[in-house]
Amino acid sequence: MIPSAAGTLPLDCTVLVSTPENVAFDFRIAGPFSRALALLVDISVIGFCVFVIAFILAFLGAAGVGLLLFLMFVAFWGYGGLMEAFWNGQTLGKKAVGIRVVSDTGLAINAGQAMLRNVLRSADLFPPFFPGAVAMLFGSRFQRLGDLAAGTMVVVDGQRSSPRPPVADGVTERMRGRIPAHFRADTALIDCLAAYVGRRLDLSAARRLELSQILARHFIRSWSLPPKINTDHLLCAIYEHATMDEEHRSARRDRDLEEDPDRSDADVVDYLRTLEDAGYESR
Amino acid sequence: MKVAEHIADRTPEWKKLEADVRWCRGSGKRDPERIAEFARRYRSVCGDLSLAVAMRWPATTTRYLHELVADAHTQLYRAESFKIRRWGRTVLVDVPRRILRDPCTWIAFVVFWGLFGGAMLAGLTRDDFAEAVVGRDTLEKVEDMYAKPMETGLFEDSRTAMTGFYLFNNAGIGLRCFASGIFLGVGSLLTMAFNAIFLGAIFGHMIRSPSSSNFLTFVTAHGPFELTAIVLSGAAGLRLGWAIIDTKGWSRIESLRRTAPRALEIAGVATMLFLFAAYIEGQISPSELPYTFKALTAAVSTALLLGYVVVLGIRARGEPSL
Repeated sequence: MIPSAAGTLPLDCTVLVSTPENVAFDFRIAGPFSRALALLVDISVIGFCVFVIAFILAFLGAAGVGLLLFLMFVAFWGYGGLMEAFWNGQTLGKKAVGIRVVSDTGLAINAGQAMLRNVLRSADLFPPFFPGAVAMLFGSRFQRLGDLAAGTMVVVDGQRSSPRPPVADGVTERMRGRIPAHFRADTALIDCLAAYVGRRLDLSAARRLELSQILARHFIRSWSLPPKINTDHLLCAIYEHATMDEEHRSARRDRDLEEDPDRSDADVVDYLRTLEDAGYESR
Repeated sequence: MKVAEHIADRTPEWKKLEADVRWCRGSGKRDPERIAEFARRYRSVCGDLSLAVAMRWPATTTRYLHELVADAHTQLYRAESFKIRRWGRTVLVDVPRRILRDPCTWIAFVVFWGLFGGAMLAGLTRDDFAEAVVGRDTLEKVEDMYAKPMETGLFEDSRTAMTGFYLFNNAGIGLRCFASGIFLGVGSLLTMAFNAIFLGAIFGHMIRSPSSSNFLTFVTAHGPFELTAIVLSGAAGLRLGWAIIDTKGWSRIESLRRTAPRALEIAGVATMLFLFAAYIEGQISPSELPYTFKALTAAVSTALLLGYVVVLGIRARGEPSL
């Protein structure tokens, strides 16, 4: 199967790619501001290098000027293209900001695409309209004209994110006893909890309590829990309860599958539905 | 198993894949065993991602896995690498054929030379034309420049500097001319028209002026390469813009995407011509070599250009053009 940009979430600026491994992953599109920052870094780097080289070549006199102008030509028109072609779609600026260029099919870009999008930058920065900036406003991938012509997009590089596992300490154990055994969380609630559990370690303890309060007070009321309960831990416990539940269900599904192989279609449909619930459009 | 435990269990594997990606990005060396291991690990992390999405793992973890799989995917399914032989074939076979058969080349050719000839005639016959087009100051500067013969040895030590300047300036104009073709070809047409009228007016004016022999001696040698390079840059830009107008049934962006690499190759050849022209303009045009040698240079470069476009273009039959 050829990887294709299958669907996008309009507000999240991600592009879904299906791989031959039958897995759909998504790229987070880099925004105009991180890209502008990367461009600024690149311009500074080129400017600094030209300055240093000019200083050195000054000793060569007129021949040095010629060499400098030659190098400037290569730097202005070739720097971005050569860097992106041979350095995983990154220039120094993109590396510093943590973004990279990929083909909009999700594959690595080739040398032609890298050169093309960089040569067309002069059209994108055409004053006073800056057509590239205007083009970025249309479409969901922030593609400037060079990107549209080369079939590329700039995405967030993964090298600096971390898995952030939820802390598996005993703190949720006591809480779980307070959750009614029959309680079933719906997918919207689990998604909400998954977002919270993933992010909570970025927040201060006071902020965690304040945020978790908003959701937790409904459970405190309906399950008659003590009002002073640690709502942060409560939400973690509900998340754990809910996902355990999902896993039990999937274990049961696996068992059913062994007994009745015809159910495999239903299983795929089930998986697709999970994806759709997570917000992906299947096209 | 709890989600937290599952994640903690798998994290070392993810970290290893991260290291693999860094290794792939960094090294030119290819160690087959490690690549095999990388591919296996990639597949297993793909499984983790499916699980994470289906089981609603914490959002940051899912996000992390998306990015990890994306990074590894880019390394595993690499683009074709740069091959010098293929590039040679592109320059010597594909591009001349395309240049010869593409109507854009001939439109650019007619627009540039038509306006150039017209402006030159106007500059020859009317006193005030060149001044109106170019402006008094520029015209005086040009007259000053050619007041003395160029080949006095005056420029002996600055020839390299001039070569560099001609490349930086002219090839830069050529690439901008190509890039501005994305505005439906209008940018390329305007750039070409401006340069044609500007140069034509100066030509017409200088031929009438007392220093005409100095001027003509200087421009002869590098003329063919430089003017052809402008035409080719414009043609490449027109090709780019025309792809948006005549889509041959594709969507406009898709049509642009399919045409752009080919247009870029033509612009690349134009840049090579600018490089040759800059070398001749810096080294031969201002030298003390006899005029016959400069005229010979012009004749040889014209023959080379004709050979490239016409002979190579016609010889390379076979696949349909464009």
